[in-house]
Amino acid sequence: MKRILVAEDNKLILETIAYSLTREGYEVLRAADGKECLKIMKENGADLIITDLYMPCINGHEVISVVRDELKMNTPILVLSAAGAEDNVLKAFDLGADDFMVKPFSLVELTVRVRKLLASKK
Amino acid sequence: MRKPIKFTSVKLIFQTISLIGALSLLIAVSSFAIRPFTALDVAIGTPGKISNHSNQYQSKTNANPEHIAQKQLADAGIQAGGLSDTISDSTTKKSKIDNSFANPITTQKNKITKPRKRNNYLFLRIFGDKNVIQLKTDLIIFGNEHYPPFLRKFHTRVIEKTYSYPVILLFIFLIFIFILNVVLVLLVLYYSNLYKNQKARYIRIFTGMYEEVLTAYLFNEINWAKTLIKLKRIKKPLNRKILTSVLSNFQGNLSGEMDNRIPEIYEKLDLYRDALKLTKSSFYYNKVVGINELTNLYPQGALRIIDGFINDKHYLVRAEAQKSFIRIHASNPFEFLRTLTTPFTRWTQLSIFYLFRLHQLSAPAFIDYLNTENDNVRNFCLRMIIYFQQLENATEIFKLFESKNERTRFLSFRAINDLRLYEGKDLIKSCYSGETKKNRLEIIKALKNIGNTDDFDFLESIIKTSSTTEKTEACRSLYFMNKEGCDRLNFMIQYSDRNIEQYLAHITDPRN
Repeated sequence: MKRILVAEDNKLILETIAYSLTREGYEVLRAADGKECLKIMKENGADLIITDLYMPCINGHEVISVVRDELKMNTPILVLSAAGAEDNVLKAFDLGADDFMVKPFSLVELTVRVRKLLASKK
Repeated sequence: MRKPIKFTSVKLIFQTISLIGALSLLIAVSSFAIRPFTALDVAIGTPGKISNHSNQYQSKTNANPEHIAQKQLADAGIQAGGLSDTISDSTTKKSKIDNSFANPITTQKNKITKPRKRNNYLFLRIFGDKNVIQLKTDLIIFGNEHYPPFLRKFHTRVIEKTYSYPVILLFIFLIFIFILNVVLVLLVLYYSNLYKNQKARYIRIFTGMYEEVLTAYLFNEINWAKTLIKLKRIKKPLNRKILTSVLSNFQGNLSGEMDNRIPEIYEKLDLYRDALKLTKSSFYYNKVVGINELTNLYPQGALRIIDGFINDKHYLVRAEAQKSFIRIHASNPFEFLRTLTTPFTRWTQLSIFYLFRLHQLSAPAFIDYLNTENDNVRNFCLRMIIYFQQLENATEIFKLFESKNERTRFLSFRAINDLRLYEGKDLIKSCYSGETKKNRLEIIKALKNIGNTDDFDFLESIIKTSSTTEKTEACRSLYFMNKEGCDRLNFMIQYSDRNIEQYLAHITDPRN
C-alpha cells in the first residue's frame, strides 16, 4: 500500500484529503505543520508528499528544500496552496516540487494527479 | 460538560484578598497612629482618643475648663499660637455660613494656651488644622452656592458628620470598598474566562462533529436523512453559526464536484435565512457577514439583495456588496459602477481589482463608464483603461481635460501618454497654461513620448521661463524625444543659456 504524507494546517482540509485518499486505497500520514512533516519524513518516509505552502513553524517552500537538499530524497512533492501567484509557483518548482495545485481544488483532480505522480516514480 | 473550578484559581483569589486585607489593616493601624484631627477633635468636642483621655482627666481633677483645654492641647502636641491663628481665621470665614459649627471653636479659643509637646509636628506641617477647617468651610460654601435648596441641608449634614467621626472609620470604609471591588473584578475575570473556555470547547467539539458528518455525506457514505439525524442541535443559533463556518471552509477550499453540493446543504438546512436576517440588522458588521455568507454559499440569495447595498451609507457594507457583485455577475462584473453614487474608496478599488484578477474575469470596456458623475468611479475607470491599454474609443478621454476634478485631468493626461494618443497632443498643450503644477509636469512628460519637432518651441519656452522642476522635465522630454531634440538642446546650451548644461547633466546621470 502506497504511503502518502499530507502536510496541511487546516484540519478540515487535512481530514478531507486523508479521507479521500484512504478511500482510494492509500495509507495517509497526517502532519499539521512543516516541522511535523519533516519529522515524519525522517522517521517513516513516504511515497508522496502533499504540502501546503503557508504553514506554522516551517513553510512549504522550506519543506521542499529540506527534503531535496538535506534529506536527499526524490519523493514526489505535490504543492497544494491558495497562494497561486506566479512567483510562488515558480519558486516551488525551482526548489524541486513536482506538481502544483491552487485552492480551491477538486478532490477528483487531486486523486488523479496523485496517481500520476506515483506512477511516474516507478 | 461543566469544567470543575480549579483549586489553584480559588487559592489565588483568597491569597490576593488576604494580602489586600493585611495591607489594609496595616494602613488602618498606621492611619490611627498618625491621626490628624486631634486638635480639631479638641476644638469641636468630637469623641476620640484625646477627648476620652481629657474626660478622664476632667473627672479626676474636677479642674476648670481652661486648664482642661491646656492639658488636651499639650497631649495633642499642638502649638498654641498656630492653633489660635487657625481657629481665628476659620471662625471668621465660617461665621458666614454656620454658627452652630463656629460657636464651639470660638468658645474654646480663649481657653487655649501654649502646649507642652509637638508630637505631630511633621504631619501638621504638611496639612495643618487651618487647611482642614478651610476645606470643610469651602465644601459647605460650595454646596450652598451650587446645590438645589432641598439638598443643601443634607450636604451640610454629611460634611458635619464626616468631620465629627474619627478618620479611621473613613479609612476602614474605603478599604472595605476597595476589597469589594477587587473581589468583584477577580470574580468577573474568573467567570468570563471560564465561560470563554467553555464556549471555545463547545465550538471545537461541534466543529469536529459537523466536519465528520458532512465529510461522510459529501463522500456519499450516508444519506441526507441520516445526516440530519447526526447533525445535533442545529436549531441553536451558535450551532448554526458553527455549521455555516464549516460549510464556508469547505466551499473556500474545495471545487469541482463540491461546487454545487455545499450550497445545496446550506440551502437544505435553511442557513441562508440566518444570513438574510443578518443583512437586515442595524449593525454594519452583521450586514457584512450576511452579504459575505450569501455570496459564498447562496449566490442566488445574494443576487436578490445585493443591489440595495451598493450605495449603502457605511463604506464597509458598500465595499462588501461591490465585491459580492463582482463575484456574482461574472459576465459583467463592473455594471454596478453605473449606479454608484456614493464614494468609491481607494481600498475598495484595490480589493475589487484583486478579486477581478484572482477570478480571472474578462475586463469590460471601461470607457463606457466614463460618463458617470462620480469622480471616484471616473478615476478608477481611467486607471483601468491605462492598465488594460484599452485603446478603443479612447478619444472619449479628451472630454475629461475640462473636468473640474484635478485628479481626473491628471489621469487623463497620463492616459494620453501611456496609450500614446497622438491626436490628443495639441489639446494637452492648449491646457498647459491653465493647469496646476503637477498636471503641467504630466503634460511635459507626455510630450517626451508623443511629441515631435513641432513641440520644440513649446518646450523651449518652458525651459526659458518656468520653474526648476518644469525646466528639468522639459529638458528631459526634449533630450529623450528624438535626435533632433537632443541637437536642439545642445544648440540652446551653446547660443542661449549655459545653465541648461547643468539640467542636462542631471537628466543624463544614470542615478536619476
